[in-house]
Amino acid sequence: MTNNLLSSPFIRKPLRTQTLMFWVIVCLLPGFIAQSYYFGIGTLVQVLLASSAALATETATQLLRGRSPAAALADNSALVTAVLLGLALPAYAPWWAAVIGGVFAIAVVKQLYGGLGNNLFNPAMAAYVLLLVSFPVTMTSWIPPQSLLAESLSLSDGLRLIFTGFTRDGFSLLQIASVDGHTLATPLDAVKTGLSQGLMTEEILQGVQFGAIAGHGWQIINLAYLLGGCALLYLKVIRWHLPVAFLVSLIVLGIWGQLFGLTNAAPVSLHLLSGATMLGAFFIITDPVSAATSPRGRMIFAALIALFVYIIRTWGGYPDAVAFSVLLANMCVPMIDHFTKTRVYGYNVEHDDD
Amino acid sequence: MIEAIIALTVLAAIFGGILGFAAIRYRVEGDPIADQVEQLLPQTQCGQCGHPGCRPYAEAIAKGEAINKCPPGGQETVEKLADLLGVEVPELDASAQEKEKPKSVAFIHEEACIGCTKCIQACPVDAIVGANKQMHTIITKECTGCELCVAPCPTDCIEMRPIAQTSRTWDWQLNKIDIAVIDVASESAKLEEADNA
Amino acid sequence: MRSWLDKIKQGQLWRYQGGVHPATKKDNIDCDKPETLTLAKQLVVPLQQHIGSPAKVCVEVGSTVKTGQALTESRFYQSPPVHAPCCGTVVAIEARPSAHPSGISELAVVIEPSSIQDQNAFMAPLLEAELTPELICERVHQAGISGMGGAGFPAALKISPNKPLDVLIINGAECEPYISSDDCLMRNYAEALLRGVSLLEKALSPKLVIVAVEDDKPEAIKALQAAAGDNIVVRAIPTKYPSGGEKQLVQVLTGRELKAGQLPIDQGILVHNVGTAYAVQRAVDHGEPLISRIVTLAGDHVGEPRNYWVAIGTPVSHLLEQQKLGTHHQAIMGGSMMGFMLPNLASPIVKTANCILVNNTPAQAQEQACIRCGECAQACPMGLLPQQLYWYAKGDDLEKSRSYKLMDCIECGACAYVCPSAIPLVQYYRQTKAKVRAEDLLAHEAERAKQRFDARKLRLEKEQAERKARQKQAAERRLQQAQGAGNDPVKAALQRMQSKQVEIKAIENEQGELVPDNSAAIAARKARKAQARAAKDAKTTNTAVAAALARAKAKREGDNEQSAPAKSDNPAVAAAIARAKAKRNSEQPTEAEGSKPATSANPAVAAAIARAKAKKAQQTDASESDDTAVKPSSSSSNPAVAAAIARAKAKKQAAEQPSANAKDAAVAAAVARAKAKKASQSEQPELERPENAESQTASSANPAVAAAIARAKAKKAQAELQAQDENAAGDAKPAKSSANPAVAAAIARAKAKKMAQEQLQQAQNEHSEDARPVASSDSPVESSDATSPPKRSAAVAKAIAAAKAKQAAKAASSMESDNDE
Repeated sequence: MTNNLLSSPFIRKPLRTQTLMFWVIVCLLPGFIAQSYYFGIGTLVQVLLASSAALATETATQLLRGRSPAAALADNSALVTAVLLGLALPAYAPWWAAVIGGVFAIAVVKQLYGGLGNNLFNPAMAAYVLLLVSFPVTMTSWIPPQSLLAESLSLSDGLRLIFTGFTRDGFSLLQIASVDGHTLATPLDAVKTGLSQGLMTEEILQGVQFGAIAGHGWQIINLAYLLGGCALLYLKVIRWHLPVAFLVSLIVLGIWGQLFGLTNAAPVSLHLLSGATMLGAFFIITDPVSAATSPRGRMIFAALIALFVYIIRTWGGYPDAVAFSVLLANMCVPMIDHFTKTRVYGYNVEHDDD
Repeated sequence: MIEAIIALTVLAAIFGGILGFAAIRYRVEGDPIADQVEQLLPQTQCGQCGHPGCRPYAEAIAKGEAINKCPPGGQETVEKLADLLGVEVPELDASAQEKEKPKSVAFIHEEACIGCTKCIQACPVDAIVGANKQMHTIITKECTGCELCVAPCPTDCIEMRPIAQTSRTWDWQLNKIDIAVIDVASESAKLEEADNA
Repeated sequence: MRSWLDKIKQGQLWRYQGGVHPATKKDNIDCDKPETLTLAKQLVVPLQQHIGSPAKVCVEVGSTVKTGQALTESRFYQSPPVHAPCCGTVVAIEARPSAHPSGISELAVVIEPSSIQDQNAFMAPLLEAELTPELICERVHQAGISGMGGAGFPAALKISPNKPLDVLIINGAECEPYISSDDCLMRNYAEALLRGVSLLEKALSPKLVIVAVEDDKPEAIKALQAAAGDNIVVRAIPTKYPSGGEKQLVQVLTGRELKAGQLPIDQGILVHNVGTAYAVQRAVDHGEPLISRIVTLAGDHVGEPRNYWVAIGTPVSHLLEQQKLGTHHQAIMGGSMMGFMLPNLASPIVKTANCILVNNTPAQAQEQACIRCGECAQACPMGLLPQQLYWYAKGDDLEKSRSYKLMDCIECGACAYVCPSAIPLVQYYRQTKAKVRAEDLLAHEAERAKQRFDARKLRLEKEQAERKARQKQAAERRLQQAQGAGNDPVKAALQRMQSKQVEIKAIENEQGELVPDNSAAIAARKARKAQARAAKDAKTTNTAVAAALARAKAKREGDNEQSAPAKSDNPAVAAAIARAKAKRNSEQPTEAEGSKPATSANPAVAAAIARAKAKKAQQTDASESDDTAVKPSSSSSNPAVAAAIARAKAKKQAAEQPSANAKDAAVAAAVARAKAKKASQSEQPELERPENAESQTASSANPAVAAAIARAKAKKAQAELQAQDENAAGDAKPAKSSANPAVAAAIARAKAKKMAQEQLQQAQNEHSEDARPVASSDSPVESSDATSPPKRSAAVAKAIAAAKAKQAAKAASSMESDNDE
C-alpha cells in the first residue's frame, strides 16, 4: 500500500498558478474595454477567436502528448496567451489571422518547446511576429478609432468584415481604414514617416490621429493598461522590477534622444502612451516563463527590451517594436541568467570590520 | 586566378607554420586523459573490466577502449566518462550490467575460517586482517565490494552483504517507507494485559 | 560612530533577505503552565538524540533504573549521555523506530516505568563556589543536554568554545507556525530560564547577552523583561519566518553575515535555545538531567491545542491518546514548515521534538510545471536560486547543483511555501543533497581504496625485490663457496647422485598403473626422521614427554587401571599414570595405596607413588609425613623410590629453612650434580650406588645437594632400568629392539601419538554428521566463538567437509567442461 507521506512544508501560500493567470486576465479588462470602445466589437471577436483556437490547440497537443488536457487547461495559461494575442491584433483583421496565430502560439511556441514553463519565447509575441512577417499588410491595417471614421462600423458590419473580408456594402478593410481617402497610419507610424520627411514633432502631433498627449485613442488605451498593471502590482501578481525597469529605461532613452536632437526622436510621452507600451510593460514582458529569473536579471532584461523598442521605433523599419524586442530579449535570457546569479549567503561577504 | 592560388597558398603556409610551432612548443608530456579518466573510476580494483586494476583500465580507455565496462561505476560513470571524452553515451556493457549490484561489503563467517590467507592475498586494498592459522576478518570500512576474496576461499566462508541505510545516509525516498499503523487502543490494551498477567 | 556592540545595545536591528509570513496559528493554543503528561506504558529512549555519535550503554536488560539515572556514559562532549526519565526496569535494549522521517529503527533503551515513582538519581546541585566554566560545562555534559531548538548539537561543546565571545544570543524566536513550547517556557518559567542564561554567562563570559523573542509573543516578552536584570537584553524582533534560524537570527540581531562554512563563534557570537538554557539551570541548580521537555500538541484535529511536559522517550501515540486521537491520523513531528511526517506513531519524543501536529492530511497538491515566476528566489533567506536548483535536481545534475550552492540550503521551506505550482521543492533538494553526500562519500572511499591499492602494490614489489636480492646473494655465496672450496656444491651433489646409480624401480599400484617404487626412499626417510627425533629427545627428558602423553591419555581414558600400566612399555609412563591416579584419589588415602608400592613390580611406579604420598603428607602433617616417608624408603629396595623420597624431604626442609641459605644451597646442589654425573659415568654397580647416595644424603650437611646427587643417579638408574625393561618386554619388531633407550622412547612416543590421532579421528567421525554445508548465509552477525575443543573439532571437520565439497564441485565442473569440449 502506498503511504501518503509528504515532505515539509505542509502549508502553502494560497496563490496558485491558475489564480495568477486569472488575475492577469481580469486586470486586462480596463484596457480591453478601452480598446473595444475605440475600435469596436472587433477587439472582442479577435480575442474570442484567438482563445478558442488556443484552447483547442492546447487540448489537441496534450492528447497527442498523452497527458490530461483538463489539467493543462485548468491553469489558464493558454487563455492568457490568446487574450494577449487577440488584443495585439488589429480589431478587424480577418478571422484566419487570429486562428493561425493562436494555433502557432500554443502548438509550436509553447508545446513543442516542452509545455508550460519550458518555452523559450513569449508565445503571444512570437505568433504576432509570425503574422506580421507573413501578412504585413493585413497586420498593419489598423482601422482608425471609431471616432475618426466617417461612418462608424455597426456590429454586423464588423463581424462580416472579419469573417468575410467585406462589409455589407462591399467595402474591404483597406477601404474602411481610410480617412479622407488615404489610409490612416497609426500614430507611431505617422510620427516616423513625418520625422523622416523632415517635419517637426509639433507639426506631426497636430495630425488628426493625435489626441491631447499621444495618439487619439491610444493614449486612453495605454492609460487603461497602466491602470490594470498597477492593479496587478498591488495584488502582488507581478513584481515591480520588470515594468518599472522597462518604463524607466524607455523614459531615459526618450529623454536622451530628445536632448541630443535625434532626427527621428519622438517625444517621451508618445513613447509611453502609444502602441503597445503599457500593454507590454505590465502584461507582455512580465510573462514569467520567458523572462529572466533573478530580480537583477529581470531589470536588465526589461532594460534590454526598452533599448530594442527605442531603436526599432526610431531607426527600424517597423512602427511598433515591442514584439520584436521581446523576442530578441528572450534570446538573451540564458546569458542574462548566467551572469546575474544572486549572491548566496556566506559567499563574497564584504565585511565591515568594527 | 593566379593571385588567388598564391594567396591561399601563403595563408596555408602561415597557418600551418603556426600550428606546427604550437604542436612542438606546447607539447604535453604523457597522457593527461588517462589521469582524468582514472579520477572518474570508482577505484574498487576489482578487475571486472578485464584489466588488473583501475589505472590499467584508465590507460586502456585513453587508448580507445570501450568505456562501458565498469560494473561498480555503473551507468553514472559511463556517462561521466562519455562527457569527459566527448563521445556518445553507450549503455553499460551487457555482461557488466548483470554484475551491477547494490553496494555490498564482504563478511567472513569466522566459525568456518581456517586461516589459509588466500583471501588476504586476493584483496587488492588489503582490507582483510589476519595471518597464517590466525582468524581472518574484514575491515568493513576499507572493503570496496570487489568480491575478489569470495572465490579463493576454500571453505566458502565469505559472504557479500549489502550496506544498510542509516538515518544519516537515508536517501529521502518517501514512497519507499512502509507505514506501521498501530492501533493505540489495542496496543495499550495488550500492554495492560501483560501488566496484569 | 557608535561601536557595533553599542548599536546592538541600543536596539538596532538589521534585516535579512527573503523570508515569508505564514499564518502563525498560535492564537488558540493554551500556553499556561503545562501539565505533566502521565507516563506511557513503555518509554523508548534512543541512544542518539543529538548530532555526533551515541555514548556507551551502561545498563543491562533487567536492571532497575531510577529517575535521572544515566543509561549511557561518555567522557567526550560529542556524545552526551541519555538518562532514564522515570523509575522502572529496562526491558530491552534494541532497535526501535526512531524519531526520524525515514522511520529507520535505531538502538534505544526501552524502560517500563514502575508503579511508584519516588526515587531519583539526580546529581548534587552545584554550589556557588563550583560555578566555574569547566564545572558548569562538565555538568551540562553529564546532564546530557543537547540543543533543544531542533538541531540537537551537544550543548557542552557550545559552552567550551575556547574563543572570545562578544555576543551570546538566547533564541526564543520560535518562528514556525503552531509551535509554542518555547513561548510557554518563557511565559511560565522566566526566572528559572534567566537563571540558566546567567549560568551560561558565567561559563562563557560574553560581552553582551540578548534574549531574542518574536514580537507575536508579547506575554513572553513581558515576563522576561520583568525577570531580567540589567545585564541581559530582551529584544523583540519582527515576526518573519525563518527568523529563528541561527544564521538569520545572527543577521537580524547583529547585522553580521557568516562566511560559508564559518561557525558563529568564529565571529564571537553564540546562539543557544531558551529550552537549552532552562535545562542548564535544572542541571546546575537541581542536578536534574535532561529527561523531559515541553511539547506542543496542536493541529486541526486537536480539540484543545496546548503544551505538555513530556518525558523523553514517550511514544507519540501516548501523547495523541491524551486528546483521544486515533492512529489513523497522520502526525507531524515539528512545525508545519520544517517538521516531518512520522511514518510510525511508536516513535518517541526526543530532546529535539518540540511539537506534534495532527492536521487534516493535506491533499497531495498536484505538482504543476514551474512557471519560472521567481517567487521562490524572493523568499529564500539564503539568497539561493531555488528555481535553478529545482531544474538541476530534477535532472540529477549534481555538479550544477553544487555550483548553485545546494548544500547551503537550510531546508526552511520558504520557497515551497510560496510556489504557485505546488512543487515540493524542499523534497527535491533533500533527495539531491543525499545524492551529493553519497557521491562525496564514494569519492572519499575511492581515494582511500586507491591509496591502499598503491601501498599494497609497493609492498608486493618490495617483497619481490627483497626475494630476488636474497636469491642473488645465495647464488653469489654458492659461487664463492665453489670458488673457495674448489668444488661446486651443486655439481658435487649431482656427482653424488650419479655415483649412486640409483635404479628407478617401478611397481604397480592398485589401479594397475606403473608408478616409481619409492619404498627404499620412504624407509630411509622414516629412519632419518626417527633418528632426528631421537636426537632431539636425547637433549630433553624423553621420559617426561612420554609421561606427559601418558598423563593425557590417562585423563582421557578415565579410571582404567589395568589397561594403562599393562599397555605401557615405559615404566616412566606407568609411573606418571600412577601419579595421576594417586592425585585423583588423594582425598581418600587407603592402605591399599600404601601397599601398592610394595607389591608393584615396577620400581618407577613405586617411586612415583611414594613421591605423591610424600607431597600429600607434606600438606597435612609435617612430622608424621616424615615418618611415613622414611618408612617406605627404608623398606624399599628401590633406589629410585628412595631418591624420590629424599628429594621430597629435601624440598620440604629447604622450604622450612630461611632463604638466606637458598643461594648457597643452589650452588652446592649444582656442584653435587656435576660430581654425581661424573661418578655415575664410572663402572660401579648401580644398585649399590643409590644406597651410597642415600648414605651420602644422610651424611651430607645439605639435603638439597644430596637430593641433586640422588636425582642424577636415579636418572641414570632409571634409564638403565628402562632399557632392561624394554629388552625384557621384548617386542618382536626389529625397529624397537634397539639398545638405545632414546630410540625406544621415541617409538613409544610415536605410538602414543598414533593412539591420540585415532581418538581424534573418532571424535571427528562422530561430529561429521553434524557438519552442514557452509553455504548457508543466515547465520547471525556475531561470530561464534569456537573455544571449546569439541566445537573446534566440529568446526574443523566442517571446514574440511566444505573444502572437499568445493574440490569435488570443481572437479565435476571441470569434468563437465571437458565433456563439453
